Amino acid sequence: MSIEREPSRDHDRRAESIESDSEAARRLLQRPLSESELATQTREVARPIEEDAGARVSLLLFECGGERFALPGSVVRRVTLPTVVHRVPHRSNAVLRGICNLGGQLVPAADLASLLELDASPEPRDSPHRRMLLLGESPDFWVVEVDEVLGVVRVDPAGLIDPPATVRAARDHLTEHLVELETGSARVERVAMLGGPRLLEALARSLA
Amino acid sequence: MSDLGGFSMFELFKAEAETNCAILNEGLLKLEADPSDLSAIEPLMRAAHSLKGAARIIGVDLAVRLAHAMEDRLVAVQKGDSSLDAVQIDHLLAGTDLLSKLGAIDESELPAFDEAHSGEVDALVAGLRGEAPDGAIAEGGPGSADAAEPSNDPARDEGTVADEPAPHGEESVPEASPEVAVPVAESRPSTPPPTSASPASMKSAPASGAAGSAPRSSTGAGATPAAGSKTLRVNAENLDRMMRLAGEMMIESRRFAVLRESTRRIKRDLEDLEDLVDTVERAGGRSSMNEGPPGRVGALSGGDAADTTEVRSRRSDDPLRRSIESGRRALLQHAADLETMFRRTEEVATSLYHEVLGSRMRPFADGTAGFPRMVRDLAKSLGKQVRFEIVGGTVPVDRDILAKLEAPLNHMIRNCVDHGVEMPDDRRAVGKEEAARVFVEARHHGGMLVVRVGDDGRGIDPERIRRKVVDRGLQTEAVAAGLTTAELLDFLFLPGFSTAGAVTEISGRGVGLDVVQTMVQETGGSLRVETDPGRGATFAMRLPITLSVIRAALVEIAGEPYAFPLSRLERVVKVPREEIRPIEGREQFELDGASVGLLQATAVLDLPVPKTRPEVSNIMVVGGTGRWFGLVVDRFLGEEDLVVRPLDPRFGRVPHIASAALLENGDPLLVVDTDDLVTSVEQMLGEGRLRGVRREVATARRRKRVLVVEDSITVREVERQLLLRLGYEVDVAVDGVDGWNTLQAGGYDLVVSDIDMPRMNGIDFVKTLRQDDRFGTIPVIIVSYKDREEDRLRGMEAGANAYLTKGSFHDESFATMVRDLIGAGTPEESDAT
Repeated sequence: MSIEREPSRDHDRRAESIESDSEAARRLLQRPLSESELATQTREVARPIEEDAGARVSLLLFECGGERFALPGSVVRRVTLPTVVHRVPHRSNAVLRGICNLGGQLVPAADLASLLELDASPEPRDSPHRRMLLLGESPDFWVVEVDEVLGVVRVDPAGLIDPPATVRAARDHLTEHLVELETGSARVERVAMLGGPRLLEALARSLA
Repeated sequence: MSDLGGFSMFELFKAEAETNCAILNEGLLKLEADPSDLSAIEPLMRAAHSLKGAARIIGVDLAVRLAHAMEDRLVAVQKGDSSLDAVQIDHLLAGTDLLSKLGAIDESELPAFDEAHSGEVDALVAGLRGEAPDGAIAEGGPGSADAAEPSNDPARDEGTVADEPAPHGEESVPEASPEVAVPVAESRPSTPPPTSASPASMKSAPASGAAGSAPRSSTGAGATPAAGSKTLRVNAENLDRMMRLAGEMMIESRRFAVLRESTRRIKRDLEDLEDLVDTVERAGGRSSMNEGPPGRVGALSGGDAADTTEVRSRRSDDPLRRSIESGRRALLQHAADLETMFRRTEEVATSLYHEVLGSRMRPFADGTAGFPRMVRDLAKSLGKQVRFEIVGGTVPVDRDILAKLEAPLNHMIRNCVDHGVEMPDDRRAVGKEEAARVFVEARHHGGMLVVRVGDDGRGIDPERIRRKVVDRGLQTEAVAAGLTTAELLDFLFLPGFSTAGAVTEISGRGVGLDVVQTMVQETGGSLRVETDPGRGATFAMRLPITLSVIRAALVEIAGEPYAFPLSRLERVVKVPREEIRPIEGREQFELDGASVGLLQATAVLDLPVPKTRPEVSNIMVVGGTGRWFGLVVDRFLGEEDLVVRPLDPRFGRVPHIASAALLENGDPLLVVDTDDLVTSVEQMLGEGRLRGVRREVATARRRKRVLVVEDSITVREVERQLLLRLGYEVDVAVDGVDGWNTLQAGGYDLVVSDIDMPRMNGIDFVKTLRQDDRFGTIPVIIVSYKDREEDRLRGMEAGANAYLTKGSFHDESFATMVRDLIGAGTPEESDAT
């Protein structure tokens, strides 16, 4: 008998301690604040957010066709796993791949590599790193597939470099700036930052 | 004005006005037809009463007075104090018009409206009261209007109102303060005593649907003529989002099936384990399975099944066996629970989905409420007699489509009454009934909403169009003479082309047939005119029922799923290769004694054609009597209910594709527009563009093909004729976008393009074309009015091979240039393909 009662008492004790823990937590969180604390907190909340030396731009870094690119975070709505793209007869071309279902919405999907006139991706189509980027504004969304999303960086717009004056290839044409990024070994890598509106316009042209 | 969940009070008045004016219009017309039907008056009184209350809430005195006078007149008629003659009906209708006009303006326009219509209202009020407008009425505020309120208005909540001028009438206007309209059933401190007429009007504020405090709440925006059902206004975007989420939910719920599958796998694993135990036991003695070396298990698997069962039953007291058994039982329970949950979730998700879907639909009649009235007024003003019929008022129509339909329907009905219907004398003279029939008919047909508007009037005379085409200089006499009736009817859709001799007040304003067509095409539909001269004309719109569900056959074409709406599908057959025989070089097979021509779906849809041909072809039979086609698809996938969604409008109208949908697993698929497919297949076969599944090589002698992209019909025709005479095959497109789309079909040897065109101009068109690998090398000639050097440079820079001005048609330079670029065409007479 006693053996059987043991765990149940243990359980009671544990329940008790949980009860008192949550009680303690509640007391802690609901304790009345002193005047000075209140004042400090109020000041803290009321303080305008300090922009660190010039507004920073957040850029999404990704790889496409074996090259690295950056896109302003403001045009990227969502990053998702790749979904099936269905060709649209009489409309699909090298750039316009077709339509795909993103969160219940059918969105035109484009081949970014071919828009950028890059060689086919070295990454296989079924690589686990591949992602889809949802770009633009509702309802004129676009989806492009990239080899890999490398992350988001925040850069100082003052540090953006103008692209070379000689623009010939499409990828240069769509490039708004060059961004210098420090890679691990203190080396600096220059990455093409694609212009959001430029890219969207170029995508829209593939529909025409 | 206060806001109420995003709606201003004025918005709510608008809703009220829309609902009640519709009731008034409909009821008054009914009364006009049968003045003895007193039962029809009651809803009208209620509507007028509600309008009065709503107008008070927003503080528009003018509308209060008008609605009040209308109500009084109706009350008097019902009591038998007065009769309703044609003049009074006209007054009431005019009043209704004014109120609905008020409901259509913007809030900021209120003061202006007040000023502009005050005189009109005075006259109407006087007319309704059967007296000349005098100062007392003209200056009468809401107080005096209330003063004249009749006592026994049965539509009123209170039922008893003092006969004498109600002093609180004055209070009722200030009462129109925001808080009154808050739709919560809370106490309203400012509500005047219940004997007042004003609370009733307050309650009739559109927002009061939720109040429920009134024992017999009057008709608010929430009340529809159909008693009992309450209508709420929901933001359409919200509804769309809900729709999408409900759709996702349904798909997600089906993913449970994956769990079911994995459970089954675990069950199998467990059984394998049990068998393994048996095997090991038999091999290594009954005592312990630890002794069984793993290497021997494989060698001994496949032991006798009967033996195994025997062993299993004998050893049921074994602890290992017991634990397997309990695991299996738990798993079975788990599977059963999962199954129940899966079923329930799917059921709920599916019905949720259908509910949301249904909420998008409204009866067709909702969009036609104003038409009987319009037809009546129109016929009256023209001295014609018209019997107007609405067929299919209950057909559910997507609310977006319904909203888009209004302007086109309006135009087409006006057109019928104005141009189609003859004067009564003329009708009698040709042996027709004096009253003409004008109808609007809606029905679902083959996953489409078909709306037909027609009359039994004089019809459209093709010869008149032909004359007009020539008069307008749209075609030369010679070309016009050769146009078929169908081609002539197409001219009706040209902007500004109207068959009316003079621009009348009735049909000369508002939208034109070209606008109707544009609207229909934008929604992915089509518009046709049918006419039987002397017996009437019908406009038939075929519109997609967006977001509606269709039953479809799923197939695979070029490795991707496509759906054929079952309603447009004649047959699905598998035909072995030996039953497919070529006739005149074109493949066909026999189905029920009829010959069915075969085409590769991939070829029609411009998709990669498979290299090998299967032993058995999977064929979708489409078309109509006498023109059956079989489309060869890769394979059949099954049958499914699909929620059809419009394709992204940015794609424009995609040939052969009606809409898109999602498969159960969430993958996208495209729904084939079978009608369009049949039409264009016929066209293509006729033009020799598509050789079906022909075997002979026809390319060697084929004529050179030229695409002419030009928005002016005159220039286009000149170029077409010129090129045809030179022996080329010619296709035309009306602007850059159209040109680009046409080009996709492939097989062009030359493109001739204008520069100034709508949608996509020539420069952009040529640039786009040059950027595409497929068309990089097609020669392009730009022909433009622009003859400045910089224009020429711009054209050449875009990638044109030559830049000519339109004057080049007169000399030989155009012809020479074409010949230089692609060689001579085949002379027509010697062409024998």
